[in-house]
Amino acid sequence: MQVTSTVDGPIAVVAASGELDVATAPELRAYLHKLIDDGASTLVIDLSDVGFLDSTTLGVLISAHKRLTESDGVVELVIPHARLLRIFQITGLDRVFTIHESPAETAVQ
Amino acid sequence: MAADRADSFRSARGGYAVDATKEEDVPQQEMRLQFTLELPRDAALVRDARRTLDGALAGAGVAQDCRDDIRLALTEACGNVVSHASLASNYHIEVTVDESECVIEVTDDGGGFDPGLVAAVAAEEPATEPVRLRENGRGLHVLAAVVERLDVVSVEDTGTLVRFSKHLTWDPSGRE
Repeated sequence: MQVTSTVDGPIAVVAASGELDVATAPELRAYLHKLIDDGASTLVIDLSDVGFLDSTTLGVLISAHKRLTESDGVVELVIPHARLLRIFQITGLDRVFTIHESPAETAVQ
Repeated sequence: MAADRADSFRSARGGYAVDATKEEDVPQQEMRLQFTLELPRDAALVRDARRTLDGALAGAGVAQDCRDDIRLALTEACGNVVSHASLASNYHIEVTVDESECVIEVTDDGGGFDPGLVAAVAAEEPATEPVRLRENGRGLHVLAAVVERLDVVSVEDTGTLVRFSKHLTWDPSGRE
Protein backbone atom coordinates (compact mmCIF):
# COMPACT_ATOMS: atom_id res chain seq x y z
CA MET A 1 0.00 0.00 0.00
CA GLN A 2 1.10 3.53 -0.74
CA VAL A 3 -0.90 6.46 0.54
CA THR A 4 -0.37 10.15 -0.12
CA SER A 5 -2.46 13.24 0.49
CA THR A 6 -2.90 16.83 -0.53
CA VAL A 7 -4.43 19.12 2.08
CA ASP A 8 -6.16 22.37 1.16
CA GLY A 9 -7.75 23.96 4.22
CA PRO A 10 -10.40 21.56 5.57
CA ILE A 11 -10.27 19.31 2.50
CA ALA A 12 -7.81 16.44 2.31
CA VAL A 13 -7.51 14.44 -0.88
CA VAL A 14 -6.02 11.05 -0.15
CA ALA A 15 -4.72 8.74 -2.87
CA ALA A 16 -4.21 5.13 -1.88
CA SER A 17 -2.76 2.46 -4.13
CA GLY A 18 -1.79 -1.18 -4.02
CA GLU A 19 -3.52 -3.85 -1.96
CA LEU A 20 -5.46 -2.86 1.16
CA ASP A 21 -6.04 -5.64 3.65
CA VAL A 22 -5.65 -6.72 7.26
CA ALA A 23 -1.92 -5.94 7.11
CA THR A 24 -2.26 -2.36 5.88
CA ALA A 25 -5.42 -1.42 7.84
CA PRO A 26 -3.62 -0.11 10.98
CA GLU A 27 -1.40 2.21 8.90
CA LEU A 28 -4.33 3.48 6.83
CA ARG A 29 -6.38 4.05 9.99
CA ALA A 30 -3.58 6.06 11.60
CA TYR A 31 -3.07 8.05 8.40
CA LEU A 32 -6.73 9.04 8.02
CA HIS A 33 -7.22 9.83 11.69
CA LYS A 34 -4.11 12.02 11.68
CA LEU A 35 -5.61 14.08 8.84
CA ILE A 36 -8.81 14.48 10.87
CA ASP A 37 -6.78 15.37 14.00
CA ASP A 38 -5.02 18.03 11.93
CA GLY A 39 -8.32 19.64 10.96
CA ALA A 40 -9.60 17.92 7.83
CA SER A 41 -13.40 17.80 7.71
CA THR A 42 -13.74 16.51 4.16
CA LEU A 43 -11.76 13.42 3.23
CA VAL A 44 -11.77 12.53 -0.45
CA ILE A 45 -10.25 9.07 -0.69
CA ASP A 46 -9.27 8.12 -4.20
CA LEU A 47 -9.19 4.33 -4.60
CA SER A 48 -8.58 4.40 -8.37
CA ASP A 49 -5.22 2.65 -8.05
CA VAL A 50 -6.28 0.13 -5.43
CA GLY A 51 -6.21 -3.40 -6.78
CA PHE A 52 -7.68 -5.12 -3.76
CA LEU A 53 -9.69 -4.10 -0.69
CA ASP A 54 -10.97 -6.30 2.15
CA SER A 55 -13.51 -6.00 4.97
CA THR A 56 -10.89 -4.86 7.48
CA THR A 57 -10.26 -1.84 5.27
CA LEU A 58 -14.00 -1.17 5.13
CA GLY A 59 -13.85 -0.93 8.93
CA VAL A 60 -11.13 1.72 8.65
CA LEU A 61 -13.17 3.77 6.17
CA ILE A 62 -16.20 3.52 8.45
CA SER A 63 -14.19 4.69 11.45
CA ALA A 64 -13.21 7.85 9.54
CA HIS A 65 -16.78 8.28 8.28
CA LYS A 66 -18.25 8.01 11.79
CA ARG A 67 -15.79 10.47 13.24
CA LEU A 68 -16.38 13.04 10.52
CA THR A 69 -20.18 12.79 10.40
CA GLU A 70 -20.25 13.58 14.14
CA SER A 71 -18.84 17.01 13.25
CA ASP A 72 -20.68 17.62 9.96
CA GLY A 73 -17.71 16.38 7.97
CA VAL A 74 -17.82 13.86 5.16
CA VAL A 75 -15.88 11.02 3.54
CA GLU A 76 -16.15 10.79 -0.22
CA LEU A 77 -14.75 7.85 -2.13
CA VAL A 78 -13.56 7.61 -5.72
CA ILE A 79 -14.11 4.10 -7.07
CA PRO A 80 -13.95 3.77 -10.85
CA HIS A 81 -13.89 -0.03 -11.06
CA ALA A 82 -16.87 -2.36 -10.62
CA ARG A 83 -14.63 -5.05 -9.13
CA LEU A 84 -13.68 -2.79 -6.21
CA LEU A 85 -17.25 -1.55 -5.79
CA ARG A 86 -18.49 -5.11 -5.27
CA ILE A 87 -17.49 -5.37 -1.59
CA PHE A 88 -19.26 -2.07 -0.87
CA GLN A 89 -22.42 -3.41 -2.51
CA ILE A 90 -22.27 -6.72 -0.63
CA THR A 91 -22.09 -4.92 2.70
CA GLY A 92 -24.58 -2.15 1.90
CA LEU A 93 -21.84 0.45 2.32
CA ASP A 94 -22.44 1.79 -1.18
CA ARG A 95 -25.49 3.43 0.44
CA VAL A 96 -23.48 4.85 3.35
CA PHE A 97 -20.56 6.46 1.54
CA THR A 98 -20.76 9.08 -1.15
CA ILE A 99 -19.09 7.26 -4.03
CA HIS A 100 -17.89 8.87 -7.24
CA GLU A 101 -16.68 7.24 -10.42
CA SER A 102 -13.98 9.84 -11.02
CA PRO A 103 -12.09 12.50 -9.03
CA ALA A 104 -13.77 15.18 -11.15
CA GLU A 105 -17.11 14.48 -9.44
CA THR A 106 -15.88 15.07 -5.89
CA ALA A 107 -16.28 18.08 -3.60
CA VAL A 108 -12.81 19.25 -4.55
CA GLN A 109 -13.61 20.16 -8.12
CA MET B 1 -17.67 -20.14 -23.87
CA ALA B 2 -16.94 -21.16 -20.32
CA ALA B 3 -18.42 -24.57 -21.08
CA ASP B 4 -16.25 -24.97 -24.19
CA ARG B 5 -13.22 -24.19 -22.14
CA ALA B 6 -14.13 -26.78 -19.50
CA ASP B 7 -14.77 -29.33 -22.27
CA SER B 8 -11.39 -28.81 -23.88
CA PHE B 9 -9.80 -29.06 -20.46
CA ARG B 10 -11.50 -32.42 -19.98
CA SER B 11 -11.02 -33.89 -23.44
CA ALA B 12 -7.31 -33.12 -23.52
CA ARG B 13 -6.77 -35.13 -20.37
CA GLY B 14 -9.40 -37.79 -21.01
CA GLY B 15 -8.19 -38.32 -24.57
CA TYR B 16 -4.72 -39.08 -23.40
CA ALA B 17 -5.96 -41.68 -20.93
CA VAL B 18 -8.07 -43.49 -23.54
CA ASP B 19 -5.35 -43.50 -26.22
CA ALA B 20 -2.76 -44.80 -23.83
CA THR B 21 -4.77 -47.78 -22.66
CA LYS B 22 -7.13 -48.54 -25.57
CA GLU B 23 -9.72 -49.34 -22.93
CA GLU B 24 -13.02 -47.59 -23.44
CA ASP B 25 -14.20 -48.14 -19.90
CA VAL B 26 -11.26 -46.41 -18.26
CA PRO B 27 -12.60 -43.49 -16.21
CA GLN B 28 -11.73 -40.14 -17.68
CA GLN B 29 -8.89 -38.42 -15.91
CA GLU B 30 -9.57 -34.84 -14.94
CA MET B 31 -6.92 -32.29 -14.22
CA ARG B 32 -6.71 -31.57 -10.53
CA LEU B 33 -4.61 -28.97 -8.81
CA GLN B 34 -3.91 -29.40 -5.14
CA PHE B 35 -1.60 -27.56 -2.79
CA THR B 36 -1.20 -26.57 0.82
CA LEU B 37 0.18 -23.38 2.28
CA GLU B 38 1.50 -23.46 5.83
CA LEU B 39 1.95 -20.02 7.23
CA PRO B 40 2.52 -18.16 10.47
CA ARG B 41 -0.36 -16.09 11.80
CA ASP B 42 1.15 -12.91 10.37
CA ALA B 43 -1.02 -10.25 8.74
CA ALA B 44 1.68 -9.38 6.21
CA LEU B 45 1.60 -12.89 4.74
CA VAL B 46 -2.10 -12.84 3.86
CA ARG B 47 -1.14 -10.90 0.75
CA ASP B 48 1.41 -13.55 -0.20
CA ALA B 49 -1.13 -16.35 0.24
CA ARG B 50 -3.63 -14.41 -1.90
CA ARG B 51 -1.07 -13.81 -4.66
CA THR B 52 0.10 -17.42 -4.64
CA LEU B 53 -3.43 -18.73 -5.04
CA ASP B 54 -4.33 -16.13 -7.66
CA GLY B 55 -1.20 -16.93 -9.66
CA ALA B 56 -2.09 -20.61 -9.71
CA LEU B 57 -5.67 -19.93 -10.79
CA ALA B 58 -4.53 -17.45 -13.45
CA GLY B 59 -2.10 -20.03 -14.81
CA ALA B 60 -4.86 -22.62 -14.99
CA GLY B 61 -7.01 -20.17 -16.96
CA VAL B 62 -9.68 -19.17 -14.43
CA ALA B 63 -11.59 -16.03 -15.44
CA GLN B 64 -10.73 -12.71 -13.81
CA ASP B 65 -14.13 -12.12 -12.14
CA CYS B 66 -14.02 -15.56 -10.60
CA ARG B 67 -10.45 -15.05 -9.38
CA ASP B 68 -11.46 -11.71 -7.83
CA ASP B 69 -14.12 -13.46 -5.77
CA ILE B 70 -11.75 -16.23 -4.70
CA ARG B 71 -8.99 -13.89 -3.59
CA LEU B 72 -11.52 -11.85 -1.61
CA ALA B 73 -12.89 -15.03 -0.01
CA LEU B 74 -9.42 -16.30 0.89
CA THR B 75 -8.41 -12.92 2.31
CA GLU B 76 -11.50 -12.80 4.54
CA ALA B 77 -10.89 -16.32 5.81
CA CYS B 78 -7.22 -15.56 6.53
CA GLY B 79 -8.14 -12.19 8.02
CA ASN B 80 -10.36 -13.95 10.53
CA VAL B 81 -7.49 -16.18 11.61
CA VAL B 82 -5.08 -13.26 11.87
CA SER B 83 -7.55 -11.08 13.78
CA HIS B 84 -9.28 -13.60 16.01
CA ALA B 85 -7.42 -16.90 16.39
CA SER B 86 -5.03 -15.41 18.89
CA LEU B 87 -3.94 -18.75 20.31
CA ALA B 88 -2.73 -20.04 16.96
CA SER B 89 0.85 -19.46 15.89
CA ASN B 90 0.40 -21.09 12.49
CA TYR B 91 -2.48 -22.02 10.22
CA HIS B 92 -2.84 -23.77 6.94
CA ILE B 93 -4.68 -23.36 3.69
CA GLU B 94 -5.59 -26.33 1.55
CA VAL B 95 -6.62 -25.68 -2.04
CA THR B 96 -8.20 -28.19 -4.41
CA VAL B 97 -9.09 -27.16 -7.94
CA ASP B 98 -10.76 -29.33 -10.55
CA GLU B 99 -12.45 -28.28 -13.75
CA SER B 100 -15.68 -27.25 -12.08
CA GLU B 101 -14.82 -25.82 -8.70
CA CYS B 102 -12.23 -24.54 -6.29
CA VAL B 103 -12.48 -25.78 -2.71
CA ILE B 104 -10.47 -24.04 -0.02
CA GLU B 105 -10.05 -25.00 3.61
CA VAL B 106 -8.46 -22.65 6.10
CA THR B 107 -7.66 -24.37 9.38
CA ASP B 108 -6.25 -22.97 12.59
CA ASP B 109 -5.75 -24.28 16.10
CA GLY B 110 -6.47 -20.90 17.61
CA GLY B 111 -8.95 -21.90 20.27
CA GLY B 112 -12.19 -21.77 18.29
CA PHE B 113 -15.37 -19.91 19.20
CA ASP B 114 -19.09 -20.45 19.52
CA PRO B 115 -20.29 -21.56 16.05
CA GLY B 116 -23.78 -20.26 16.83
CA LEU B 117 -22.47 -16.73 16.80
CA VAL B 118 -20.86 -17.27 13.41
CA ALA B 119 -24.04 -18.58 11.81
CA ALA B 120 -25.86 -15.48 12.99
CA VAL B 121 -23.23 -13.16 11.60
CA ALA B 122 -23.01 -14.85 8.21
CA ALA B 123 -26.75 -14.76 7.63
CA GLU B 124 -27.20 -11.23 8.82
CA GLU B 125 -28.41 -8.58 6.41
CA PRO B 126 -26.79 -5.22 6.96
CA ALA B 127 -30.21 -3.59 7.02
CA THR B 128 -29.95 -1.24 9.96
CA GLU B 129 -27.62 1.70 10.31
CA PRO B 130 -25.80 0.57 13.50
CA VAL B 131 -25.13 -2.85 12.01
CA ARG B 132 -24.04 -1.39 8.71
CA LEU B 133 -21.66 0.99 10.47
CA ARG B 134 -19.90 -1.40 12.79
CA GLU B 135 -16.19 -1.45 12.19
CA ASN B 136 -15.51 -5.19 12.22
CA GLY B 137 -17.20 -8.57 12.01
CA ARG B 138 -17.94 -8.36 8.29
CA GLY B 139 -15.51 -11.02 7.09
CA LEU B 140 -17.80 -14.04 7.01
CA HIS B 141 -20.67 -12.05 5.55
CA VAL B 142 -18.45 -10.94 2.66
CA LEU B 143 -17.06 -14.45 2.26
CA ALA B 144 -20.54 -15.99 2.16
CA ALA B 145 -21.62 -13.51 -0.51
CA VAL B 146 -18.90 -14.40 -3.01
CA VAL B 147 -18.83 -18.22 -2.78
CA GLU B 148 -21.43 -20.92 -3.41
CA ARG B 149 -20.98 -22.82 -0.20
CA LEU B 150 -19.47 -21.90 3.14
CA ASP B 151 -19.02 -24.18 6.13
CA VAL B 152 -17.57 -23.02 9.41
CA VAL B 153 -16.69 -25.68 11.93
CA SER B 154 -15.36 -24.32 15.17
CA VAL B 155 -14.66 -26.32 18.25
CA GLU B 156 -14.27 -24.27 21.39
CA ASP B 157 -10.84 -24.60 22.97
CA THR B 158 -9.54 -26.32 19.83
CA GLY B 159 -9.67 -24.49 16.54
CA THR B 160 -11.62 -23.52 13.47
CA LEU B 161 -12.05 -24.86 9.96
CA VAL B 162 -13.48 -22.55 7.32
CA ARG B 163 -14.30 -24.38 4.11
CA PHE B 164 -15.74 -22.75 1.02
CA SER B 165 -16.22 -23.68 -2.59
CA LYS B 166 -16.50 -21.57 -5.68
CA HIS B 167 -17.78 -22.66 -9.06
CA LEU B 168 -15.10 -21.89 -11.64
CA THR B 169 -15.55 -19.95 -14.82
CA TRP B 170 -12.81 -20.02 -17.41
CA ASP B 171 -11.13 -17.26 -19.32
CA PRO B 172 -12.45 -17.62 -22.89
CA SER B 173 -9.09 -16.58 -24.34
CA GLY B 174 -7.50 -19.64 -22.75
CA ARG B 175 -4.22 -19.90 -20.99
CA GLU B 176 -1.72 -17.12 -21.62
